[in-house]
Amino acid sequence: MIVEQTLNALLLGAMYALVAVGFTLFFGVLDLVNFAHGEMAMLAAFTALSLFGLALGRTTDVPTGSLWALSAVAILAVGGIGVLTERVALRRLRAAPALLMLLATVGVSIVFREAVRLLYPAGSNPQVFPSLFPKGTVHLGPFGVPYDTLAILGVGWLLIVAADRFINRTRIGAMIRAVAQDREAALMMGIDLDRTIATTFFLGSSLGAVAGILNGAFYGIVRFDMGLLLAIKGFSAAVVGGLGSFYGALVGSLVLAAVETLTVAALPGGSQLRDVTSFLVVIGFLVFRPNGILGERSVEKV
Amino acid sequence: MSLTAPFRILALEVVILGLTVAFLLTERLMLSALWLGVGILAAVGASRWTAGEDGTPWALLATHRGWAVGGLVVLLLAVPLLLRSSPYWLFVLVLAGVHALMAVGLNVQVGSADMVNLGFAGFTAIGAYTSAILSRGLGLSPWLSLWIGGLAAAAVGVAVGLPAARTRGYSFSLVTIAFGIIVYLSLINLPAVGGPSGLGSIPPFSIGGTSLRSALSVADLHLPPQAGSYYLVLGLLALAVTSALRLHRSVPGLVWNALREDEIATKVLGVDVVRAKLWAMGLGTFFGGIAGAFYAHTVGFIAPDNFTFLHSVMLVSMVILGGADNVAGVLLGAVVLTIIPEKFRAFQDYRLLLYGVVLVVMLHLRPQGLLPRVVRTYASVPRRPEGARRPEPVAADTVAVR
Amino acid sequence: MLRRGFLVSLILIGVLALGLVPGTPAGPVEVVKIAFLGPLTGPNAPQGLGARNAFDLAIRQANASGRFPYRIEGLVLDDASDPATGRAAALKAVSDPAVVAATGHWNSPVAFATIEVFHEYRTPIIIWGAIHPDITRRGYPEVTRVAPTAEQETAVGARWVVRDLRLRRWSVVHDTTAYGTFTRDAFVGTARGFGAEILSVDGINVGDRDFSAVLTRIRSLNPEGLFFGGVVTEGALLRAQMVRLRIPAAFFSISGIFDDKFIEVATAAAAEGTLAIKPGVPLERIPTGRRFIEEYRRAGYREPYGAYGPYAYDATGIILDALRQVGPDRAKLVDAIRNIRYRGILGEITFDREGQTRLVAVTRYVVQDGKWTVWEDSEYAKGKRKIR
Repeated sequence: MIVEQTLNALLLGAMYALVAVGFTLFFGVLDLVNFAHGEMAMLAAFTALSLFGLALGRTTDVPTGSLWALSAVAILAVGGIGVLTERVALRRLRAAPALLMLLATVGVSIVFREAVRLLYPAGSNPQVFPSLFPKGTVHLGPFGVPYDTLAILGVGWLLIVAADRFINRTRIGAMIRAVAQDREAALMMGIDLDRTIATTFFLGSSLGAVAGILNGAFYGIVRFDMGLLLAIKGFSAAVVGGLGSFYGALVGSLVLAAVETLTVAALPGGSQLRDVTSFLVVIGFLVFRPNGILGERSVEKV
Repeated sequence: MSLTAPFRILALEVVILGLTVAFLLTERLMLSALWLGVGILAAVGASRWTAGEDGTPWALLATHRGWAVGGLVVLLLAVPLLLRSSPYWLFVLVLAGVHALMAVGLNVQVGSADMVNLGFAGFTAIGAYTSAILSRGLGLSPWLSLWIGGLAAAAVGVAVGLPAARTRGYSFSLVTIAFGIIVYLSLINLPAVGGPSGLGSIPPFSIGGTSLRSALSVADLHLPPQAGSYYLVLGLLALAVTSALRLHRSVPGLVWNALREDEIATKVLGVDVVRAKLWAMGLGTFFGGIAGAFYAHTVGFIAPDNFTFLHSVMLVSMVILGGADNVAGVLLGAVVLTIIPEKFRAFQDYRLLLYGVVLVVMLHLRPQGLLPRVVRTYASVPRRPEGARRPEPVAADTVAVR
Repeated sequence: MLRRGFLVSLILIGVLALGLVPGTPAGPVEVVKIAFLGPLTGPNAPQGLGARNAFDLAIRQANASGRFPYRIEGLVLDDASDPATGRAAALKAVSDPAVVAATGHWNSPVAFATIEVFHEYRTPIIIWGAIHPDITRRGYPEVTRVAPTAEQETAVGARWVVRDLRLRRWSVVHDTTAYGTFTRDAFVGTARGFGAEILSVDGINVGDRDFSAVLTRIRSLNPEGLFFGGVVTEGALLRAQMVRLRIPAAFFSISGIFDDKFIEVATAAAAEGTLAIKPGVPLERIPTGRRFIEEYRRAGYREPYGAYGPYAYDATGIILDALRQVGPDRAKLVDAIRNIRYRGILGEITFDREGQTRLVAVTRYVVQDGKWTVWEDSEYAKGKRKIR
């Protein structure tokens, strides 16, 4: 049973990591806690569902290839929505105190959530999301790991590595890092601030979108309010692991997932307390190691 | 000059109150939108009508504070008579009062000290549940358990503040979010406090055997059923506002503002930052706990769903939209953000959506809130005596070293 | 300037004062209102909307029947599944002098909050959906309920699965809402009464989708049955994941999961063999039910009447019947409703001392080949298929 529970924890961790990566990007680069990030995941899932309906008319007996293609479109679309959101709702608040931007993202998240609930047919109900993975299990010794679990683990890992590589090894990534480090210096070097921030939002929102699609495909259900809990969990994971580090997001997510799974598996009646222990751990980390596990030890110079 | 100023102030208050009541009582959506529009126009006009010599809007309210406050108090006391026909709206006003109490407490943290507490609902829940359990289970008088509830919330506030004081900015907010959620989940999972079904049959406040929830009659005047609760919340608000204002004007308020401006500089100046933060936490949550306890005894029923993360967000937005660090502003923010969603219940389904849109729009249009941050005036530099001219005050935001 | 301002203020105040004088309606009663309270927004909106439509249908039929000398109007109020909202809605209802009675609520916490108001204003309220047993135990004569309580419902179910089907070892999973917790309590209590052994009790949150950890642990306990107290989505996911993890236990729940969506989400293959009970009798099998279905369809409502539409319909019918007996008087209606004998869709309704209906009709179901099948008709009952 231990192996299985470990696998459960790994999978949960991967799910959280997919969202946490986006948070890390926003915070590391823009010093912004984007509460609307969770809604990007939700929007992607619902956009994908809408596309499935419009283009295919049904979600059974459809070649998975088409489903994947449409999902990719949905991911790009949500990336665009992210850029649009920044342009419309957040750009003017760049100079304002951080609290206002935070509140603005909260407001935006409410708008997205309610818009989906009201505009999507039967939006308040959970919606069935088709599985995008082949059915079947891979057998490693005595244990069977289903394909979809493997896929999530694989994609999660890939995304984090890709994000890290992108930020640290490409030119655009360098521009983003420059803006993160010192906005004014970057401007003086001729970096187009608006473009860079827009790119960041596109990337971050796309990452969130991928999280949403995979989440929906794995669990088979999406809800209009799934973004809020994902956001809180993803944010917590990112903070615990160290805001600003992609690998930190992964580590933080695994820690949280491990705590939750342990609570459920080991404590009778622990299933209800799972979020409580999870958040207690978050508080603990914030107090004793505010920069997270892998976070940069920042020293504030006065 | 001295006659027109009080007159203008009183007339202004009567008109605004009248419009508000009309806004509340009209059944037809179009009419209420009309009253709202007229009210806004009237407010704009009034700001000029009560301007000082140099044109500062609302200046007369500041110079003739006695008239302004006195008139307001009298009018507020008369409200239950005006709303006699609608106990529902009186109840909404009581609810607005509860939110206003919470906002005053939260303002100490968010507005004065820049401690963004996104889990305030959890603290109010502690006040509410403590008071409810004490009065329901142990038979304590609600008048007593109210204060115990407040103290309990304050104690927890300080307890949470101890570790949280070391964190800053986002970390602090996340700690409060986590705390709020933990309180919510704990309440749901504890059958001893009613679990998800909550606690009912909470005893009401009563004076000499008559419950404040029932219809009172004083002399020959028959007041609607919520009037007792309304007056009580007004009384509590008066206490809270006076305390908050006095704190703001004295050293604690100054220290909090200094914290907000530049925490490190304040520390360098030798101020015990941790103590200041703990005071902010304790005082703010005390008011929140009182408000929660009051709610429990007034409605008679509380459940964990009354104290969710979204409630905390709404409270913070009341403080921000009303005007952070401005006590009058947060009162206004609380009242407006309670009344308007209730009024537009006709939109039912779109309520939350509109709320989000209004939030974003307000942040763009008026990020400083409805009422601006109070500018502290310190020294009055006496001019060389040249006739009867008043000396000009020297204004400074705070005394923090930049 | 002074005079002008003075005059303007006087005029304004005068106008406002006029507007504030409450008009008193005089003359014969022309409109009588019945209030409907229920969740029209939020997670339980499907139940609330279905019930509201049924309520509306009953009122339309009453007006069309010509049996009332006045017009009946329905005052529809949303309680949003939130006690404070519900209380505000209740206040709105009772402060409208034209409202004579109310029917309401799907969520028990909301009902708990509003019955205080209805009791204080001595206005009758008939509960159509909230199933917490204590709602009718406060001793308020104004409160009656047409739906069976969770205790009544679950007791019948427990007797079926524990005694009749001889499944003795049970794991219990429930959601952390009021509904989930008291169905859990009802099941645990009554199942033990029939000799069952409760191996584990675990709570999950609404919105959770990952139950692998808790199910892995349950599997190690080897239960014969898994009882779920909760609603459709979590139930379906739980069932699907349970099958995926190869837990060979029977899956039983009450009306919360009874919905075609359950089968859709869990997939027909995984849902096969799920046991459920539902209050009421399949409407297609009784003539009154068939008539209701037809009339509902003809009225063209967007949402289906759901599990509680018929109850709301009967509740409204009771109010209307009492109205005809004693007229639009709140106090008289309280008594008339309590003592009524009413032929509803599901049978004759009378209320006991606590205001709870004596009519408890439940139907047992099993999922067979992707459809909810009445137990007695199924191949499982006939022994041709096995549950585990």
